[in-house]
Amino acid sequence: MPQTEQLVPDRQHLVRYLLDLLPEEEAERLDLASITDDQIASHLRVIECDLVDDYVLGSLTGETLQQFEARYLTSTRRRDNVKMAARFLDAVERAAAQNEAPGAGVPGARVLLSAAAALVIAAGGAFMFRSAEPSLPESTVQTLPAQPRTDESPEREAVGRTPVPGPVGTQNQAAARGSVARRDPGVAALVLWPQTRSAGPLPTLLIPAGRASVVLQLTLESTPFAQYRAGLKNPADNEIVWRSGWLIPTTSGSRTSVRIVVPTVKMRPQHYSIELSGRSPDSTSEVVESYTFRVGSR
Amino acid sequence: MQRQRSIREEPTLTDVAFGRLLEWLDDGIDSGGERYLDIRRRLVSYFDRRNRLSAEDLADETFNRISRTLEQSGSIAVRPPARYCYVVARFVLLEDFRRDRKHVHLDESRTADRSRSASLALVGSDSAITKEHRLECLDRCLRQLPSEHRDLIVEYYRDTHRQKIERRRGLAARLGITMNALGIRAWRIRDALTTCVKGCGPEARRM
Repeated sequence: MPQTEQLVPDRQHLVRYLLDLLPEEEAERLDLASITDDQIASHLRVIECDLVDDYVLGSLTGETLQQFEARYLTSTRRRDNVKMAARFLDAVERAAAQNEAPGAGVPGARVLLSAAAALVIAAGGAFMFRSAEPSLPESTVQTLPAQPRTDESPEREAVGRTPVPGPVGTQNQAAARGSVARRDPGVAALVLWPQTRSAGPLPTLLIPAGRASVVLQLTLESTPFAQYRAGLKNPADNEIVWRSGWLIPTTSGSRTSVRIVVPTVKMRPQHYSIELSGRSPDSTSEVVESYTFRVGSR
Repeated sequence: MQRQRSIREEPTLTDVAFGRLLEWLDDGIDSGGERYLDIRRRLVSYFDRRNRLSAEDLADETFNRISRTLEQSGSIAVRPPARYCYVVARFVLLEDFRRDRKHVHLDESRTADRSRSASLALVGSDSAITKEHRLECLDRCLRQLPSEHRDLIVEYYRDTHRQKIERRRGLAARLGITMNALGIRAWRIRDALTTCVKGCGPEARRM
């Protein structure tokens, strides 16, 4: 198919075009190219896809984030793109977690994955932990009762726990949990409850070696806001070491939560707190929940 | 409904006219309708970027007009066909802007407000059951992909920031293609997945 002879504009230029930030004349030139030039049309789609994904993952910042929300999200079709991207990335994350987990591809691997993950963390108070599978039915989520911690060793944490009878606590599943937990399940995800509901020891997250990011699911008691933003705080100096973009809560069963993907480079073995802020339509925001957890050493 | 009537002033295409349009768009290379779908998608995006509420209708109106010209004149001198599509689309866009100005609604400002709140709400109004359906459908569609396609998009779209770029670079090197070509390949698979999801059922169609 015919191509224009001009070079494909760079990514940043096309992002500015998508966010309606280019002068009219240049925007019209790209309007034409977006329809007549196969290469630019394809490139534009890929960049738009990445832009939307970055928004969903909370990676957009500054002017780009501002313009994305002020201009890009004004169209129903584009808002639908964002919704679709959120679900798509969720599915990709789950598929990636399954691929990484031992026993991936085995029937019922999702349940094993979830249960194994529940055993990897040091059990604290009334918190829940599951694999990167936020959409599993409620019955596959393992709730662990409060138990005092006696040993910090991850290996002991993983294999030393007696399988807890619960929704998935059959003999076979318990055995499966034990065997999978002895190996590194390669998943890192934690469901956190607001501090007011967490009694007992802190939930602990063990980050598998080589893992670039972890998924934290922040459960909400109520959802007065449409969008939320999480800040990962080091309680030692109250410094926010990482902040998510504005995120939309999702509901699975009776639980509504905000899911954040935190880069592991931002975490060290220590305590952390997360402040969750809600944003109202007039763009004012306020802290609505806080969560605490510990990153364990491996 | 009023809006639909004002855009679609002419009846839709006959089979013969549609066939002629496809042939003209293909420009000598039989694409099996792919070229039509591709150009239509570009037109929809164009109208949508200009914040037109009925981007799909405007894209169809563009094709309707081109089809009528083909019917009346037998051929169109402007080449390539995509360039002519843009010329017509630009007229359709300007007319739609004009139509909007003529029909300024009293509650226009409130409409804008609703649009803004909708942008903030996004997925807030869906029921939990609907969401479960959608997620199940997405998982099912992902499983139905050929394994090499599934592996490629999982590898391509996972992670964030630097890890993602490095992973993509490694993937492109393994496949012996450029990063741009990899991006387009991944997008095509993702697009196929979206089409699969749209076919899942009434709940999923609203994704």
